[in-house]
Amino acid sequence: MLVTLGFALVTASILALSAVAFTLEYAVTNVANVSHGEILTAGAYAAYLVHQRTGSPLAAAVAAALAGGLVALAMHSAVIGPFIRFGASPTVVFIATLGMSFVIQNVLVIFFGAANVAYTLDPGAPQQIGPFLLTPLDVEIIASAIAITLALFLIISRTKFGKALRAVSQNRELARVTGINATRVAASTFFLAGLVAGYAGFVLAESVGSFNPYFGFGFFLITLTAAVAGGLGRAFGTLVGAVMVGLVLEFAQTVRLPGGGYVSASYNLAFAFAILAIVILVRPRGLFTNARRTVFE
Amino acid sequence: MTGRIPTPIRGIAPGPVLEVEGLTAGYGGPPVIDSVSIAAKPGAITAIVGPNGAGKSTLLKAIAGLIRPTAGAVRVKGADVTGLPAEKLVSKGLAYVPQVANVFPELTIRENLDMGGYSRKGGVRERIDQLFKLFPDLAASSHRKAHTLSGGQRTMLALARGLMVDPAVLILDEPSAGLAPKFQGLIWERIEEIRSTGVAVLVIEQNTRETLRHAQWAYVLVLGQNRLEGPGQKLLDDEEVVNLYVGRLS
Repeated sequence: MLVTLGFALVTASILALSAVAFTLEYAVTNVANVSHGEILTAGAYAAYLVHQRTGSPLAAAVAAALAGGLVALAMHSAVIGPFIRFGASPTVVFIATLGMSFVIQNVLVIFFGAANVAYTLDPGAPQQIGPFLLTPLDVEIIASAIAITLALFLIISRTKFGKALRAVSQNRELARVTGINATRVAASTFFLAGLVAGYAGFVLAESVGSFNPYFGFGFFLITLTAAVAGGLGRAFGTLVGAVMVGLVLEFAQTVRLPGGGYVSASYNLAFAFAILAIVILVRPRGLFTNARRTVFE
Repeated sequence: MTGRIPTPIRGIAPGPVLEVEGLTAGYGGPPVIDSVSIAAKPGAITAIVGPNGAGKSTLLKAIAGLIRPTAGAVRVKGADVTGLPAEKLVSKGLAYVPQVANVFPELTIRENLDMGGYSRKGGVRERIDQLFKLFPDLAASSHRKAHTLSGGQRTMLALARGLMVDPAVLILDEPSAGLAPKFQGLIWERIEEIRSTGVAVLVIEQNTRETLRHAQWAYVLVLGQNRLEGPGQKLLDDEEVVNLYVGRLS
């Protein structure tokens, strides 16, 4: 039970990083960036390549974050930003990001092949920490997720940039007539979100143990359920959604089936969407939001 | 031929700080405003009146840089700003207060004003203190989020946000729309105070009669084109204007 809770905390941590980054991207554009998962994938590949050459996990983490930041910035500068500037509806931009997702996946296949790349760090010996049994690697993942989330919270709530980010998110047109360059704020937000998502890709890859060009897309779907369930565009709601989905996914695997054996992790996505379906039935805009729009409006 | 620039009301009035010449703009289809020319002077309220669909809001949006004009020119303090995006116009001395959604609902009053001063080089805090003297209601609840404010308070906050940059021109899109009569009077008091500090106030309003009473100069816009212009009080005395655009009893 407590072992599972430990796993769940790790899953929830990674999910929280990915979902908060995704929700920031949504906040400044009003568009669900379907190619968000490819930021994680880029982070995983960058971490792997740098790790191979330097042997340093720290360098790998930095490389993952930077790669994620640059990829996200490129996504905004090349596709999302121009579409929004030309007045495309959110649905059109949404579809454009879907296309971008497939393009990036296939470009990665061209360069790296579609096969799984094994990537594991030494997790160290599990230790009893409080009530949980966690490896030092687990502890690092959880601690870094908390630190990053706190840093994001401070940036968003305290800095001038953070206020501008919220202003653009609440009313882009009013932000512009207030003198805020909304395009630039959105681009900076994408870079920031990309740093976080790229790092999430690195920790996800090492906690799963392998990755491939499609790896981020699969996790994006779970990210989407967490973010939408919590309240898209709301950092706090998204965090709660991520922890909730993370817990349910891990505990689902501890359910003993009638014929013996356990529920396979392959059903993760089905569980994630089941949670989303239930939440949306009760609160169409997510649990912790009074937003006027749902993700597809 | 009537001059484009309003004649001085008394003495030698300063020249206009906002000049709009032959402005044509729309939303991709046929132009909504067609060759509209107006001017606004410092320390004066300039009103644009006209029936619904005359293009008043579109004119303001084109001036504020939210839609790109297809022809014509906009000058602020003599500098050509035609076609500049909205965020760049703010530092040229032009502040625009939209009719609806004119505050950031999830930001506090103080944060809204901070954002109003986004393009200022410094002195944001001092400016907020000055504006709190003009709008004491806002000072009392500076940590409240904007969405918790009443309609009147929200409009006050929207005005204050626009004033954060010390604008030469303040453009108001129906500032008293939807407000209780008590608040409408208060809003006009504030607008008069703002005008008296030397700001050129350009305003459109539903309540034409009240607006013309305050306006030193007013333009009547019909079907996206200039129809008439003159001192507000004079237009109020004009049979044609009253019959067509004001209504006898409003």
